[in-house]
Amino acid sequence: MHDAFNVSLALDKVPYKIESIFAYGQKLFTGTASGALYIYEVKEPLEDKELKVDVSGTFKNFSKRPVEQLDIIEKIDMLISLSDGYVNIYDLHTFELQSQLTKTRGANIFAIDINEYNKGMRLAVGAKKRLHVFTWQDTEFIDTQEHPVPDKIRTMVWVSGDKICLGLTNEYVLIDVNSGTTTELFASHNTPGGASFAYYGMSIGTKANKPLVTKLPQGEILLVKDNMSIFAELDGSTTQKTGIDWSGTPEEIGYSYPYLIAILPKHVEVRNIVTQTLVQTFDLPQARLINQGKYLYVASTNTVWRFIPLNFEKQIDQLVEKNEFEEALSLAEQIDKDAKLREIRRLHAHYLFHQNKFDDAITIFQELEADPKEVIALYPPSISGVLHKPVQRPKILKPSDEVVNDEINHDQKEKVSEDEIEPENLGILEGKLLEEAVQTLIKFLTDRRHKISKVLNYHQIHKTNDPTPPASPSHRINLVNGNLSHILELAELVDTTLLKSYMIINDKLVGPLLRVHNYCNVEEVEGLLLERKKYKELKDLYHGKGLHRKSLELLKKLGQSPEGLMKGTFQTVYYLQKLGPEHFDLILEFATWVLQTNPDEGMEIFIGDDPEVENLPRDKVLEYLEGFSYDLSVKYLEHIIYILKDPTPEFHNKLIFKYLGNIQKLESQNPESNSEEIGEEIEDTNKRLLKFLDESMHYKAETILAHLRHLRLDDFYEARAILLSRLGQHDQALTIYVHKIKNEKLAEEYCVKNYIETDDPAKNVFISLLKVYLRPSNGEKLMLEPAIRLLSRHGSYVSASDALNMLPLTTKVSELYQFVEKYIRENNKNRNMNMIIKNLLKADQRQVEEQLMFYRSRKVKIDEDKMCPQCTRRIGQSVFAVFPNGVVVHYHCKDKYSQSNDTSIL
Amino acid sequence: MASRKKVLLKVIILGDSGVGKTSLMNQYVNKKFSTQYKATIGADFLTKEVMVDDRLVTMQIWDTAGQERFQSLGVAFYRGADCCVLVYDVNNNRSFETLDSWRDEFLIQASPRDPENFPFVVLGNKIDMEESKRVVSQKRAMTWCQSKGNIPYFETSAKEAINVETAFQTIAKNALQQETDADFYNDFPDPIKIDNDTSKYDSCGC
Repeated sequence: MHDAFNVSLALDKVPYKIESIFAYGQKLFTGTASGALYIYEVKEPLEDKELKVDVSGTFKNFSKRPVEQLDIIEKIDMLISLSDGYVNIYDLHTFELQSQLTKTRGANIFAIDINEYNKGMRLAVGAKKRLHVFTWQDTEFIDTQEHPVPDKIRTMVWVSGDKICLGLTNEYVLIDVNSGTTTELFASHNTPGGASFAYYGMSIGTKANKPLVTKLPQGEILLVKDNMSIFAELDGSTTQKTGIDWSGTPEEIGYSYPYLIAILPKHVEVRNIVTQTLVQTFDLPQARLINQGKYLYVASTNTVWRFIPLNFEKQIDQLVEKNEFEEALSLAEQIDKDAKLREIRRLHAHYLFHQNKFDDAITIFQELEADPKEVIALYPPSISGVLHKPVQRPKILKPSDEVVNDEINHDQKEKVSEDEIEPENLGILEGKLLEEAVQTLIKFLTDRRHKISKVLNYHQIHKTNDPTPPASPSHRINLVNGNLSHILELAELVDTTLLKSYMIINDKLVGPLLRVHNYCNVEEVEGLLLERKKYKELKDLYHGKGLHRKSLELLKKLGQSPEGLMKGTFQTVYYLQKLGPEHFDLILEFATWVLQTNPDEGMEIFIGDDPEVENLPRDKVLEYLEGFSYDLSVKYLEHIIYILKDPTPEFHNKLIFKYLGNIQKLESQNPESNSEEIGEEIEDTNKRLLKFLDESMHYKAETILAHLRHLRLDDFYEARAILLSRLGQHDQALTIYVHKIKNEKLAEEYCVKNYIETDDPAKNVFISLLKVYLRPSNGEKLMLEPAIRLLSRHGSYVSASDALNMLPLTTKVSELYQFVEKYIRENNKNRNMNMIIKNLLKADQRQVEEQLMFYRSRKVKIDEDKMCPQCTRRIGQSVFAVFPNGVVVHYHCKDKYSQSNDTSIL
Repeated sequence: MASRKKVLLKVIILGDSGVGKTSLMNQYVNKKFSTQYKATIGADFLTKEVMVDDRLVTMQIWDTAGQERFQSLGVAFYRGADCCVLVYDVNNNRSFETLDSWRDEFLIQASPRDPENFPFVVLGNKIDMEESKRVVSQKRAMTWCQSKGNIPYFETSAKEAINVETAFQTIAKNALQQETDADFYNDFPDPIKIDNDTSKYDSCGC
């Protein structure tokens, strides 16, 4: 219950009997039982002041009989009255009688209809058991329709178009004024689906009950029976709404937006039309007349009360104060004030929150797109931080605050706290309750986060960095139109608070939040994480914000500490692997301590299986690693050459130099200490060197050779042999094998490997080797035996004449037996093989020739006389077809011919 | 155990655009594959009934658009998921690298009670392509999965139907596990078990 109206006395105990009232504007008309008309000027009070009523006209002899009904048609300045069974029409200013509708003698009621569209005016009059309809034409009402009705009309209302709802003694009827067809309302026998009075458990017939019809703005009519008011559609069908159950039988009902006012036997009731809640009751003795609408008056026989509607916002505030939110919302919805509506819902959400109905509250906040600040402020300082407000019911705004916006809200809150309004202890959130509340907050914030990121994304795409026009003056934070800095601020608040919420109930989500794109406030979160020793998350925070130095310093500190989950180099290595070339200097800076601590793990920074690692500038990495040790730089070179297949000659050369340098260094060391170990290492490096020289195709052999020349000459024969062979200097390479390494087998292998079939003896490596053996230079001995051994094994690669030319004359033929035998055998073999091939090719040729003959034999000759057997015309120049049996037909004849003849081969 | 309620498992497939999320779902549910690429808009789901440890469960598999990460679908979409399938293309390094953020974003959106044990499954798709095109090694993928709490990893081909069935069987199994765990957290009071010792029932001679 709240106050919807203020009731003031307008006329108190007038010395006549009021029979009818009508009000419009500031004028109040009263018709009396003695036939007089009183006109009053009513001055609306401003604020809670007395109503001022002055008599502005009295017409004692207005009528001879009681004035039963009064109405006004402002458009034509007419006052209509009903008196003595006649409807009279007066001038509204002079109150002179203009005309009397004599045709409706015995009239007991009339109703005016003003058409909104064509401004046509109609007057319905009920007289005895007839309904007359007059239409205003030019200067007078013309009688246009007349319909009989089953009973005397006791009340009537124009409902829609041409329909009038009539309240008869025993029933309600809808009548069409054009056709005169009537529809009984709630008649059980002819409106299938329609509810009947029986349905409502009522019967009509007791004379004491006055039928009442009220038209409602929502396109409904309200009919009264006994204590009930029943809703009906304008076409007469019933609605699903339950009726209003009055506390007595209504004598009169009026509608004044958005309330229904009913005069009941004992008092006057005001109800909300939507919720049907009883809003207000008044004790007004003997009230019996209502003037409904904006100028709501209630009258008894000698007293008139003015019902002044209270400012709606005041009404709503009253309701909110009583926590009657549903009622307030219904009222606000009806008066359609968006801001007000939002405000109530907001307060409702606050209320629900303090009732620990977190989910419901958050749902409303979410729907309202409430400012996250407001929601966050509801939480304890561990989450809300500086936003936290002592728990209190937010004050209701004054109705004068038309626009409810953040600032006012803010100011007010501040004002409130300044005024030291004692913080109502509406329950401090803790334990399970806090957990529940935070859970809902997370839901809210995640949703906000999602929406904000959408908007920011939009900004990013459209680059709308320019200041946008001021957002609409609504309470809503208009994300799309809000300016970028504001949104970013909001994003920071939301993300930071979300993180704090996670810390309270689900700290495993802190990491994910910090790893994805977020707007967390670095300083604040840094402090929180340090406090809780969440170093892993702290690293994620730094990483997300691009504060790699801080991150790496943290990891270094933790890595070097003797215990803890983050000790060791792994975290730093992993971090550095992901940084990529743009942070190269940083990588080198922080790789140092890792390489010093754990070179093997540290190397992963440069040889890990990540694209970022692969993209590091290799020359610089190498330079850096060279500063560390031979091992690391070789490891790196081997990695980029063998695994990453880097073809850069410099790297290949460098690796070779590294190997050489290492061997030299090891050899120069004191041979006594760990000689075995060193020897092994030398051997291992040498092996790797030779393998690499052999396999790599990218080093520059000249460079290496030049480098070798700087070193001691008699070293690295094998390497030099490989290098020489790479340069095509087989003679020199073989000389090394034969004279320096003195390894016949290696020389032979070399020949087999490098042999290219050729007729030019100068390019034949076997001949080169023979030369080394048999034409020694530099005073070397002639080596006949190895030469003969070579010939006997690989003689077939060398032509006999070349070989014999080179052999010294003193060579015994018996020594050459093997060579010659092998040579002859080889030649024989080749000859036989060639014979076979020749004969096979010959056979092949025959076959082809045979085939050629076959095809040639199938030729056809087209000449002047060649006829087509199908159409017996000449083939001539036209396209023809030949069948396998040699028959020639026209191309277009071939199908016909083949259908009727056997065309297969002869 | 007779009156066990019908289980609906919500499975969400995430991953970069074009890695084969829709194809994997189609291969699994419809046994079909199309070489034509059609970007998914918003999200779409198919259902399939599967047997998991003698229980018939309905898997509701949600395929999502990889184009815009977590933009079009609201928070509510991710809530109540029982398993999240992360898909990448073994021939596309970027699609592998973004797995981290797909996972993290999912956790934030869904805010599961126990994020560390929420079931994820990683699928490295398109292994039917030539070996030379492959850029994400199995070892690298498995290392990542291990570092995220031993996420099951499968190498699949929606085109050749390699490993798809096996992968989804694991997905169903893990999702069911999650669903059961989630039930455990529910506010309902613990039911009193009257058939505590099921083995006895099993060995009952009737």
